[in-house]
Amino acid sequence: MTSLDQFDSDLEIRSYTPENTGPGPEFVQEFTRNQRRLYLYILAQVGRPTDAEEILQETNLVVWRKSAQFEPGTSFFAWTSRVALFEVLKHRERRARDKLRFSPEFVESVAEEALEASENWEERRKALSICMGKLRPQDRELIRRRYSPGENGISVAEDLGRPINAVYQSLGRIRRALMECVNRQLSAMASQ
Amino acid sequence: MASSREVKTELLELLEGLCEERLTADQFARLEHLVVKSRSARKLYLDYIHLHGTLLWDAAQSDGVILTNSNESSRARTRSVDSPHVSEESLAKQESVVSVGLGNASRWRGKKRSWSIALSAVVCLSLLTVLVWQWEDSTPTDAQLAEVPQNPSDQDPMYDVPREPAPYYRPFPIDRSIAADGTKETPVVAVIPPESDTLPLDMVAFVDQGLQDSWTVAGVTPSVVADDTEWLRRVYLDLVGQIPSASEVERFLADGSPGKRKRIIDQLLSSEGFDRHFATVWTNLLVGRSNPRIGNRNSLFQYLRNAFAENQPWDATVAAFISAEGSIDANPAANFLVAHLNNQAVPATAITARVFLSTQVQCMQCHNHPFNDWTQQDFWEMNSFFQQTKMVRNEEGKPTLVSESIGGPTLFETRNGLMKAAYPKYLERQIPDESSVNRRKEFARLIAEGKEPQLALAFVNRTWAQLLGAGFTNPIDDMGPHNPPSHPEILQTLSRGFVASGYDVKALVRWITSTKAYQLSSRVNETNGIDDPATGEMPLFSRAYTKPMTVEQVYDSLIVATRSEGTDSQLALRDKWVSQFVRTYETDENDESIHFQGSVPAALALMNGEVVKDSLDPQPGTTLHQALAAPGGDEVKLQSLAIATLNRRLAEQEVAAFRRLIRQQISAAPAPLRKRVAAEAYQDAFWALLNSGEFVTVP
Repeated sequence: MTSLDQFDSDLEIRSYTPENTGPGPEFVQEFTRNQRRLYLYILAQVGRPTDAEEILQETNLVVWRKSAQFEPGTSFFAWTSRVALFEVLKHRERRARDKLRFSPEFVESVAEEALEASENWEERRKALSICMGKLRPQDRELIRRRYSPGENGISVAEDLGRPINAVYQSLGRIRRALMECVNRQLSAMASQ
Repeated sequence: MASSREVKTELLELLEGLCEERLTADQFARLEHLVVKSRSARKLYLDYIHLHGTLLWDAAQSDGVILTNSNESSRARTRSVDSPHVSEESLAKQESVVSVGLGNASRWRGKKRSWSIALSAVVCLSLLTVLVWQWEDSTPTDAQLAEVPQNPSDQDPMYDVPREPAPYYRPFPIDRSIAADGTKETPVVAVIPPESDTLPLDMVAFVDQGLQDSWTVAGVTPSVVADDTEWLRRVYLDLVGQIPSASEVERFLADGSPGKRKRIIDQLLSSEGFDRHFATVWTNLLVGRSNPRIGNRNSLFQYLRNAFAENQPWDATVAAFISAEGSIDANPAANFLVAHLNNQAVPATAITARVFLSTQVQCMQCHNHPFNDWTQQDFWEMNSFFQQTKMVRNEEGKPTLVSESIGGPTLFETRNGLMKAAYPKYLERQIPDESSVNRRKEFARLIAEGKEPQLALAFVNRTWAQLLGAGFTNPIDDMGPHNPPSHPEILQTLSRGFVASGYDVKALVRWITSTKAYQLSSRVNETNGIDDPATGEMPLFSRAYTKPMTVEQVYDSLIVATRSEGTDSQLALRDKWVSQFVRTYETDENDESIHFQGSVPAALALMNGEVVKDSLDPQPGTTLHQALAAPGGDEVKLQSLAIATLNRRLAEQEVAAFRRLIRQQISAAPAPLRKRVAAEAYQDAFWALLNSGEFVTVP
């Protein structure tokens, strides 16, 4: 856990000089390239997609403002993930009444491993796209519906006129199958 | 080692609840607790979050389309791996925003600081707006929805009724408070999986049904049932390690009564050939064909042969090997560990785990397993069970196993030079490390504990693979959470049944060979071409997978094929023949490689002397002599050679091809030599049959 003082935003504004003309194209490219990874990293610590999106936006604001602090050649993700972690904790304080949020112990134990695991997330995504291709068309369609923005299991069940329990079961089965497929696929990819 | 399955089941349910935002406060706390507590739970959690998050992110980015690797869907896009999620246009858009910002900033240089800050905020916000716009502009259009069949239940029985879930996945009890429109949904009773105590009354029918279900789900129809000749050759090679003789084939073909396949299975299971074959297979597994440290390989083989003959329970056999004491003369089972106790019992640990538990632990000697959560610590904890054991020479100079009364931990070094201690522990069960405790006895006891221990799963998987050509898990000795089985319910139920039967090996073999899958032909039909474990696909068992013969099977089959009177091969001669092909490697597993890839020409070329000459020499008592001497024309002779070697009749075009060649040779020869040339021509035909790829294949 890094000291929170490092991210005191007051200090930040004072250090800003007119010579900083905004981030260059390399920065922008790194920034956009790391968005997905950052989103997943944040999601791992808060569990809820809506929270993760909010926190990602907050993080982006800070990262963009502090673009001058980034040293080219160092790990962009390492830097932005520290910002994100701070935002996760700030966000948590704001939502003090919400019972369904992860404790600081949880965040701490997950954050470090998520950082390490995130190195392989791109490989996992490749494996996932292969595995999505292996799904039966009906299963792929169900996933498409479920993950369409604004949808969830209940809305999909309503759209299709199926009992909610059946839809939850199917989704669970498919997600489990995808996970197992991804792990197999990664083993296969690694042994090549 | 691995987290227990119940915890994993619970964790999977909780993760599902998290994804669908259905967790109660208690469930949420439970999820937290599990994840904080265990590394493997954290890994599972992260993998699940990655899956869920990636699907969400991709859907948001690309108009509701999930990235797939196939080109089926017209909406699928191909992307390079490193490309950012944002498409090229929007990246250009952002860059133009940035350059506008840059341009503006330079104009404003020298002005008040607050202007610059406001500007960069504007730049930042517009970038975010671009991103957010990308996110929100992706609700599926009506056109997209219309493409989807409105009633998937019409198309697919899967959606009709909640399927009986797999034993290790229980569906969620429904939580009324989350009903979308505020009305209370009628509670649905969660489907409980079958009690793990009850076993199906008819194991074979259970397996058949399970496989049939998987074929239905995969949309394949099984291949046709193998015809008699195909099947008989297979079952003989699988159960007694050699092809049927010509007369055995004829007898089977002539038998028109029902249940003849079952009778053959019974007959083979109670024959000496079964004991010999399984003893051969397991001797090779335990000590290889060429281990230089082996004391007396033959006595080990005889021990196994007796064990299979008496149908000794498998757990007793394994215990005998693991906890063997004494000299190899007094206790032939001691030969196993004698062969592997070099190098601090590292090979003993690795081979015990691989052969009896089908788990690959050898790389964990030095580091954690790359694909699952087993650790270096786990390896050395298993190794410490062997630390009391020493090999000495007794008064006659024979290798002898003794267990010394020593206790305490095993020390090992991690990759960064840290010394750590490992105590004898298997799957969270630690035994006391006092010197008075006999660790190997305890280990043998621990691995056989429970209704469905890995010992049983491993043996079932291996035996299934031995007979069907592929295991539920492949490679067959690499089971674990990183390598899930193709049909977990079948594997587990067969294993539980195996344990409940008292680890009855013949009962298991009988179940497996009586299944519908074992009757099928290896011929592919239009639907099951994808069922091909050789390409890395998970097997469906909708057809037979042909297997190459092992070296010993080739030798024994050559003897059967070439002698018209049934004689079993002499084991000493066989071992000598086999040893030509084997080379030993000095690895941590006492590896060896075998140069025989089922190629008879190579085999016959390397076999100098007796067997070759004998097989082609039409002496009385040989197949060739019998074929030549019997009355009848070309076709009769050829068919009898074929039955003896390929165990089937030749097809018309095959007969025609052979006859053409034989006739050519005969007519080219001068009249006085024709008889001799004819005999040689048949010799050539026989040679061709023995040399064929078909001869060395288990159909």
